[in-house]
Amino acid sequence: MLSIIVALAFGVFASWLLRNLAARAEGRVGPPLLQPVWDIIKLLSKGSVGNVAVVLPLISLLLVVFAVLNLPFMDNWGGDLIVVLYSLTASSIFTTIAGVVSSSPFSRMGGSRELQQTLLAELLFIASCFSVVVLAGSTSFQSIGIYYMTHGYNLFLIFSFIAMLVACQAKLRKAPFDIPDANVEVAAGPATEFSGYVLAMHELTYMLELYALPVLASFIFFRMNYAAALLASIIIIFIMGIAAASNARFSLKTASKVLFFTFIFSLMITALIYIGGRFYGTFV
Amino acid sequence: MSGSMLKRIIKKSPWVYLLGLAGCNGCDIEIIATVCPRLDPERLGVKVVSSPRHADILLVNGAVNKKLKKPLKEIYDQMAEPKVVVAVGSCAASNGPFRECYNMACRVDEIVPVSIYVPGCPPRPHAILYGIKKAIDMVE
Repeated sequence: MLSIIVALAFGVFASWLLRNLAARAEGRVGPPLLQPVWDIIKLLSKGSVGNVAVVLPLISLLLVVFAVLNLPFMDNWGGDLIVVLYSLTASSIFTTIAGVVSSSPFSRMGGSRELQQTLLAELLFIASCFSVVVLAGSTSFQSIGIYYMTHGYNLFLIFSFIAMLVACQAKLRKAPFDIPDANVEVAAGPATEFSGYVLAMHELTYMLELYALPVLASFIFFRMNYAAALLASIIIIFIMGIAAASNARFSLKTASKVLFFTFIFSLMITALIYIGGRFYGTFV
Repeated sequence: MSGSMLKRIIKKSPWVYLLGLAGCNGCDIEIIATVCPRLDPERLGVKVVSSPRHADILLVNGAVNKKLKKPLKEIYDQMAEPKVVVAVGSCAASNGPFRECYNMACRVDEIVPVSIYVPGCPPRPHAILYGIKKAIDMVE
C-alpha cells in the first residue's frame, strides 16, 4: 500500500518535471508543482460522456498497480522480473484495445499506431532486461541483487541501459516516439474518447508507468538501495524530458527502424555478455 | 471532499479546446499567440487539449455558416459538464463582416450558451487571456 502512495507521489513529481522541462525549453514558466494533482482531482469530479468501455482503462490501471506492487520497495526485494514485464506489456495492450473499440476514428488510428510501436518497444525492453538476467542466471529481483553483491558491476551493461532508455521513451510515448498521440494528426490518440474519471484512470496509469519503468531500470541495471534508486529514476526522467523537448517526432517507419536496430544492438550486447561470461567465468 | 474546495480545485485546472469556425484565420493566429511563451497560460493550469471530451472551456472563433452549424452543436455536446464557452472576436459575437453573407446560418450564441465574449477583430492575446481567466472564474 505504501509503495503505491510513494509511486503516485513520484509519478506526480515526474509528470510535473516533464511538463516543466518542456516549458523551460520553450522559455515559458511552466505549471505549478501540484498541477498534476489538481488535474486528476478535477477529472475525477467530472462526469464521463460518450461510449467508452470503462473496464479496459480500469484493467490497464490495475495491471500497472500490480507491476508496482511487484517492484522492489524499501527493504522488500519484490517479486519477479517476468511478472513486472508481463503486467506492463498487458497494460499498454489494454490501453490500445480501449482506443480501438471506441467510436472515434482518431482513437482507432491512434490505437493501431500504438500497437505497432508497442510491439517493437516491448521486444527492445525485454531484450535489454535480459542481458541482466543472462548475467544473474535468474529472473527474480533477489537473485539479481545477490549477483550484484557478489560479482560487482559489468561495464557492458551500460550499453543495455542505453537501449533500455530508448525503450522507456517509446513505451511512455514521449517525443521522438509520440506517434500514437500526435495531437495534430490523431487528436489525443487512444485517449480521444475518454472523459472525466475514465481519463483520470488513463492519467493515473501513465503516472504509475512514469514510476515503474525508471525504477525498474535503475534497480536491474544498478542494484542500489531504494533512496538511490529513486534519485537515479529522477535523473532518468530528466534525461527523457530533455530528449523529448529537443527532438521532433519520428515517422512510424523511422521509429520502427530505430527500435529494431536498437533491439539487434541489445541482443548483441546480451550475446557478448554471455560469451564473455563463458570464457572468463563471470557467468553464473 | 467539500464542495467549495472542489470548486477551487476545478478552477486550478481549466483545459481548453480550440475551435475555429468560418472566420478569416486572424483570431486563430492571435489565439496561438496567447498560448505561446510570451503570456504562457500554462502557469494558470490552462492546457490546450486536442479532444473536446477532455475540455472544460470551449474557445470558439469565427462565424457560423450552414455547414458548421451541426459540428458546433456536436462538439459542445461532446464536452463533459461543467463546461463554459468563450467566443473570441467579432465573428463569434455577431458574425462580424460576414453577417450578410449568403452562406451564413446564425450566430454562435444561438446554438451554444456563450458565457464570455472577447470583442475585437482580432482581439489582442492579452484580451483573450483575460477572457480565459474570466471563464475560469465562471466554471462551477
